[in-house]
Amino acid sequence: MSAAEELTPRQLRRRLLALARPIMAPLGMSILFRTAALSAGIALVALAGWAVLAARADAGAGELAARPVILTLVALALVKGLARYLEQYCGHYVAFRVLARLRLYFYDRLAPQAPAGVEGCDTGDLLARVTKDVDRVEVFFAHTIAPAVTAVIVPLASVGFAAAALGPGPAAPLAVGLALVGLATPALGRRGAALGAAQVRAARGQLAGHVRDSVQGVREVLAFAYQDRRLAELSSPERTLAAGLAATGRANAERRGANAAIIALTAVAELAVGLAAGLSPADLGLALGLAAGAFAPVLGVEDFAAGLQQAYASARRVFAVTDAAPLVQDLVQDRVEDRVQDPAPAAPVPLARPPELRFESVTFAYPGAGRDAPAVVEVSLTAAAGRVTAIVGASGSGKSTLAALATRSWDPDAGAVLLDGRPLADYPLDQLRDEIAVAAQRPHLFNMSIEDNLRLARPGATAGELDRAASAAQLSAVVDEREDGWRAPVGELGELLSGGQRQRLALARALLREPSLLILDEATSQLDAGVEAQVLRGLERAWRGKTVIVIAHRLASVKNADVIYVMDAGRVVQRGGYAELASRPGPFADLLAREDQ
Amino acid sequence: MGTRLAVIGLGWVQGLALAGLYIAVGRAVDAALGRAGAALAPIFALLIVLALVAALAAGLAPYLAARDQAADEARERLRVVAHVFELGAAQRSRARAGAIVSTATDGVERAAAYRGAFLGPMIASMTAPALVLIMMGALVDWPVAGITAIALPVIPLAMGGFQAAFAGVSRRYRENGRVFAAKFLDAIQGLPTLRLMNADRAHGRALAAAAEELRRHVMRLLAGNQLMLFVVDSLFSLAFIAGLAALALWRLGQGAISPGGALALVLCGTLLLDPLDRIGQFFYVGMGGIASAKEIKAFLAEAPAVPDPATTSDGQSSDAARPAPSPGSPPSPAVELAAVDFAYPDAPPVLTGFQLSVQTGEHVAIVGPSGVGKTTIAELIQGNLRPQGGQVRLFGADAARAPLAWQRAQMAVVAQHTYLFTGSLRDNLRVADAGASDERLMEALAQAGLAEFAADLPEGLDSAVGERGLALSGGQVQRLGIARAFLKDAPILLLDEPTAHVDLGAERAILAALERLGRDKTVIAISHRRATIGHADRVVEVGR
Repeated sequence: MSAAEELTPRQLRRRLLALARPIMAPLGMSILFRTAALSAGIALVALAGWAVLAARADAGAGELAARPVILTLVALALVKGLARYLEQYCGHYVAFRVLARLRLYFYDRLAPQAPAGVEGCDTGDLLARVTKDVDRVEVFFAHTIAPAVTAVIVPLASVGFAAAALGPGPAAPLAVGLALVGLATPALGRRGAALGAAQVRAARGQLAGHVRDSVQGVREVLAFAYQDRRLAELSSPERTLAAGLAATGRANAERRGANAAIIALTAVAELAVGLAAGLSPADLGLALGLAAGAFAPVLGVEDFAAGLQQAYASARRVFAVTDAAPLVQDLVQDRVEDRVQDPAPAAPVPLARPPELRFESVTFAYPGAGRDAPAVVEVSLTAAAGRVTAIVGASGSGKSTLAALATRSWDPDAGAVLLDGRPLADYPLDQLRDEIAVAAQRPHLFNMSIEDNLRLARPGATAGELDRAASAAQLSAVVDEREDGWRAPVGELGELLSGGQRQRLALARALLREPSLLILDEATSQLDAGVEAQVLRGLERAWRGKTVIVIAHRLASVKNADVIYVMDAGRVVQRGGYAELASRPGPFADLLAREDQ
Repeated sequence: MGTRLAVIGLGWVQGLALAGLYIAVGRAVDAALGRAGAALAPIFALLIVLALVAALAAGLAPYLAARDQAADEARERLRVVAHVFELGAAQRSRARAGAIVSTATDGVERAAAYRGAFLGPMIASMTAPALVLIMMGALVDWPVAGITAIALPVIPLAMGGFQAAFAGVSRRYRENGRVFAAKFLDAIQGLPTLRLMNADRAHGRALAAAAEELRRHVMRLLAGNQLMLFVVDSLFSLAFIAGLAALALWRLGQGAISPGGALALVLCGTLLLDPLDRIGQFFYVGMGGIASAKEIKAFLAEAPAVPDPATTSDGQSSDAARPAPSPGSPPSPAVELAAVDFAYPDAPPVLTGFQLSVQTGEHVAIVGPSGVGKTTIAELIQGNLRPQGGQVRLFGADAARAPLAWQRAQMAVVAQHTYLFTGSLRDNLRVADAGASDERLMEALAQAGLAEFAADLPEGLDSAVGERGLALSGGQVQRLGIARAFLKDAPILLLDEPTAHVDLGAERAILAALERLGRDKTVIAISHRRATIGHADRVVEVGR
């Protein structure tokens, strides 16, 4: 991660431009049309100023001369409107392309890191990078580059035109005014503003954390009559926020005031210089018209600089995620480098069906948890081929970590996980994940229909295959009670289904994959006892000829297991059959004593 | 409000000063061209004064607005968080909690920026052109100003036109964008699942196709509807530059105005263009701010599931609900549920005519399988829910008529999860007792079986816990909850499966600590586990 944090602006620019190559043409068009719109805007005022004083010069012919001028003004107005429209259209085009490209890039780069890289990180932070940081880079491409480029081109053109048409003297005040607004005032109060902005960011972070604590800890707040103190605690970060906002506001006020003064005084200076230089009335009108119209492109230049810095910071955060190496190395290395063209997968390793899965003295600590807080310690256990092996224990005893190690979501720190006697790392990940399926306790459901969620497991499944998996997992009952049946949506994160229904869908998904090794990780924990019994009966038929691992803390779920391992605090503390374990004192009996009576 | 008026006023001052400046420029041109040898010095002095007035007004407005915004933001956030507390601890989904946090942070920020930094300048910008036209009429030419004023409604019309043309499209556009953003987030969150099913690449391709489809669709929408932009932009330039120049030339030809007057009219036209630049901003900042303000308003209007008698009726009657200590009379039960009916909305009843009476000092276990209403009973006793029928009484007082603060003060609760706030260990213990000395905090930790743990911490009570703090085990966190309960020292101890999520070793330590804590208290333990209830005087079975 640290490598990306240290990318220099130059490296960042190169990488961003490489990403943005397909949008260079529309971005160029957007700059072009913006230049046209701004130039037409300036020309309108300048020409109008010239015309009203020129009319007086050839008095009498005024009526006649007016017509072409007015027609030209009308034409300029239409050109300006059209250019504005086209500029916006190109800008939106750029925005969409960039956003889609950044998101897909993020997805493609993150995929090989999952599950470990995704589950391990603070998901809130990851999602912030996906949304806010990606958006900020998009804003930079779509809404910062074109204004920044035209803020240079158009003023240079205005000054060049003034010098050519009126001479260097009358062009000077315009040049000075534009330079001041474009270059000097953006620097005004920059230090104070930067400090203020940092203060604002820090205070907002603190406030967000405090509010999150208040919402999530509301029970504790109320139970301990902590409300008033809690609200009072807000006032200190709010004061910091107010001070920061005041500092940025002051800098902003200074810049606005300075700009207003410069623009007004440029007109005054133009008048003085024009009179002193003895410009013709028409030329004087032109000079004053230019002075009144030329400043639009340079206003707000300070926003571009800030936008650039923010885009760099955001790009660094995005690249920090996308550049991270997968924690679990696949046999096929180049899969990470180039996912656009799928590389030929490494050849599958011949495997007995059903296979045996063995843990040999496995120790594992989650990154960040520290070596002294391992989730599993020296665990040795065997899930025999074609048998049902159960792992039980209180929550937090390390059971689910074994499931994650079995699917190579992580690699153990010490010891080995062997499939048919070979370390898991000897198998291509694709093969491993075709052979092993997990039904999770809290499965992720996608915001699609029940059928689409199920089909993720096997896109080409026939209706008969779907029905079989669904009926084994008792999902059919869920489908039947929906009006839309299979097409019924599950909602965001599956919120339209109950916890138990979500679990049944996950079970059906695992069965549909037809794995040779099936792992149920607390997969029936949210079903009520009756439904669970039905599900278990349905599964017994489905898992014939498979190696099955059932992880549970509800002991009724494992009555029929061939062998039961009992885990506590990360270690295997007992092993045996249900009747045998239940009949003698020990951890299993203790767990049994905790159960519903 | 006062600040907003000041900001609008300053916007007008700026517009009028600049109009005055351009008109004075015209006078100076007339004076110079007339070669009347007119003294230009006073005009230039006036020009400089007007420039400085405009600059001052331009600078002062954002300064005032920023100050107002900060105060507004703090005030609104306080209201939202206070309302979170008023709404109570009723069950809410994680998504809902996330939305509330976002309302209290991003939402409050956007609404304050809208009210503070946006609305005042926006109103000033939309109304200043009328004043500029009046000034043009008064000082240069009424007919030109009058005819141009006919075009003034183009400003609100343009806003309306934009609204009409864009509201539908831009809503669909934003909705499409949101739908895709949500789809993408869903994919990122579901990546582990996709990987384990070897479905990540296919899903990625589907995502790319959906993005492309969305883009084509939206670009087609925009191509048609953004033509409004062309119309409005052209209209402004036609009316306020081309049209104004034509009128000026016409009046000049009639000899009604001087060349300098004509120039002044053209230059003032640039001031009338100002609203054009703001319209886009309106749809960007403005709409977002309005939406956030609505969201805050809707949240503040939510009614608590359990109204607090202390705030809904006058304090006197609720005082009356509190039992007077009467040593002579037979003591009321510490906790009593009398014929309690309860059902969650749109669900079959959980409790019907439920009876429970727990005498002071008694240790009672409530057991039963999941789903029979054990947790509902705990919520009723705590005042997080109210029964639809019957009464919950604490020491004889009807909980529905007693202030919630009093009800909560009667009990300490150790539940399945203990929440740790971001901060030090000391902060987290003082949640229960703000004034507790370090000695007392250490005593509480010792009672909870955490004396050794605390002694081993390099920074002791100053050690950070919570989100960015030490990684504590589930058992340690639960024992901190017990230490808090010890500090609170309430007469009733309510245990709602405090060992549901800890390992066997930790469970023993927790049970030992709970036994110490409950020694001279009324204890109600809710569990489906025998171990928790080993020392109960009485076991109440629910759902049998």
